[in-house]
Amino acid sequence: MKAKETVQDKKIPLFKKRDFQLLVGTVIFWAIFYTLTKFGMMNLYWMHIINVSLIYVILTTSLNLINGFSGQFSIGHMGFAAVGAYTSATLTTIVWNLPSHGVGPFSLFILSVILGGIAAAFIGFLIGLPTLRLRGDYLAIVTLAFGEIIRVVINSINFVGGPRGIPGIPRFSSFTVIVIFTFLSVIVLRNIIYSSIGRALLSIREDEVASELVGVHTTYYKVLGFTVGAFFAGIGGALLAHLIQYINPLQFGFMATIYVLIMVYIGGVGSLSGSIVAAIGITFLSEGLRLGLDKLDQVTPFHVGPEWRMVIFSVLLVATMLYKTNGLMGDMEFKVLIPEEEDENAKHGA
Amino acid sequence: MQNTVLKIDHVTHYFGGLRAVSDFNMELPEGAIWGLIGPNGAGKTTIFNLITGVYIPTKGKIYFRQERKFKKKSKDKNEQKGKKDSEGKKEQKEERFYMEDITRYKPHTIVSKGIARTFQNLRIFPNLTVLDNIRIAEHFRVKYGLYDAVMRNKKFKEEEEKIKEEAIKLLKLFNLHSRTYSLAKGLPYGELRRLEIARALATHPKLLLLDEPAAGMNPKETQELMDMILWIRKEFNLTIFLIEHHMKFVMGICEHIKVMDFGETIAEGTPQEVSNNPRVIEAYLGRKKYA
Repeated sequence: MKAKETVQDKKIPLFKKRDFQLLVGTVIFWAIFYTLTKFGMMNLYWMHIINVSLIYVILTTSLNLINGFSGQFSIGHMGFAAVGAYTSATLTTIVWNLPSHGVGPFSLFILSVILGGIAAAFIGFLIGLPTLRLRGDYLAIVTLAFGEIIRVVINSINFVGGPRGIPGIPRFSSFTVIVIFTFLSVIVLRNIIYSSIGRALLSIREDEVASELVGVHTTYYKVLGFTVGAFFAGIGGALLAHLIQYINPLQFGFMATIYVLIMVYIGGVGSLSGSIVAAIGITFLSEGLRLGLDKLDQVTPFHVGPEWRMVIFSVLLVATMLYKTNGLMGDMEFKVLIPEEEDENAKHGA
Repeated sequence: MQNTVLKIDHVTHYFGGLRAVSDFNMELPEGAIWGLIGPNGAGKTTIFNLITGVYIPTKGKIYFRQERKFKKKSKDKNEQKGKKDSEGKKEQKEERFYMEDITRYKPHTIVSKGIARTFQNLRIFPNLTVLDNIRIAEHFRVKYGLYDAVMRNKKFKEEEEKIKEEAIKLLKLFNLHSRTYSLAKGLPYGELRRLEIARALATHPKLLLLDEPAAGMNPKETQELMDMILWIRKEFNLTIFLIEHHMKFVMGICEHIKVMDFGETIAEGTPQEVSNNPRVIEAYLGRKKYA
């Protein structure tokens, strides 16, 4: 009886403060950079990096759903991004041959992005169904293999350009579009995580046997998590294709997955906030290092080309694993990313 | 007449060439507390794993009593009766219930049928809060899907409130209320034991399997646990089947005891009968040789 009263006392209003804060924050972020570009006060190169980093937020958070929240070790994430990128780019560039302006082409572009996500989710489902019975290292190897298979298959399809890739993709992924998709992706992932489905995924990570024995259909939820992760990877890939306007199979190779994986682990396994911070931070660090190392190469007699970036990343990853095993955020979340009704239950960071 | 809740029918289980359980039979009456004892490696936990679907028995069948859901009223009663006979089961007094063959079901299906268990070495979800541990066990009763969760609509909120309310009620009953939002790994051992039982009860079982509930407990805690188990049976209207090494505990609480050794059932009966059985004494203490 008492429990009933306390729950009703804390009745959550329909209009939630935190979602509102998140929305306002995003709008302000968007407005600042939008006006800066509009008035030509923003370096277009750095604007591009911001766009890329936001796409990496989608890729990282969705990989975190698989690797961090449900505890499955997938390293074929870019394979799904490739499916999304190729599906949508094929539609917009080869099939529909859209001009890069106008309302009609734009809505078709949105459709193609969503179809890209669905195609990736479908492939993810097909791959997940047999492979998610495996655990740990075995799953990693199989997802790696499937990621490579996707790439090699695309490589051999002449219709989508084979190894030459698809050039001349219309540039639909504007800053606004990317901000909206990133915002929606993060919100959807958050809503899934703070629900019964998310708890089922967490329980699988914690103890799969115990999870099964308290009634969680573990195979179903593993496949579901994998499919949702693949869906957002597909969305990310589709946006990326329409941002850099050129895709080829090599972009979605193993190293690209490792890049996203590094973001997940440095940000924190099981933390959306960590993934967001790491995706943005590492994209900028990567570009900063590219410029920095180039400068260093010019002013010193040593040869320190931008390829040393990867070495620095590796050192960074090793250092993170040694000194902050759970990543920057651990499994903490920013307060604004936790639904109010879960507030007491969740851990929040700064 | 008492109804059988769980029937284990000539179950034999091999691990490769090793016979872990041989020809195990049991008819567990409703509302009873039965014990399963035996030396280490006798196959007790294997029996639990067979019941809960972790292993599928090499031979034999396991039945669990289910309440029939009447969809078409009484029209096909005879038909159902016929089915029951054809499955070769005993005639039941109440036709509302039937024995369902759960031998090949997956563990999560068996949980949803109403069998819950605890583990010998605690299997709590350590990095989740106490509340989440309970809510995960309520998970399969949640009625919303992916769409509702993503939209956070009214259905989602109502269901979430409902299961949270239930979880908190359960935690209060087990005096874990003050720990609702702490991480499970930070709890002391006794509370973890209670949490595991509470988690099992959150699945709304009809049969509760306890695997060495008193392991690592001192005499005072053991006594409290005995009281708690008796109280649980009354409060939740349960049948309980437990494994335990602690003789005082088993003798004090169980109405009927089965004794296993090397996979075989060597004795069964009331605590009195079992404790005087020479085969049981032999299994536990060895053959009289030097006396």
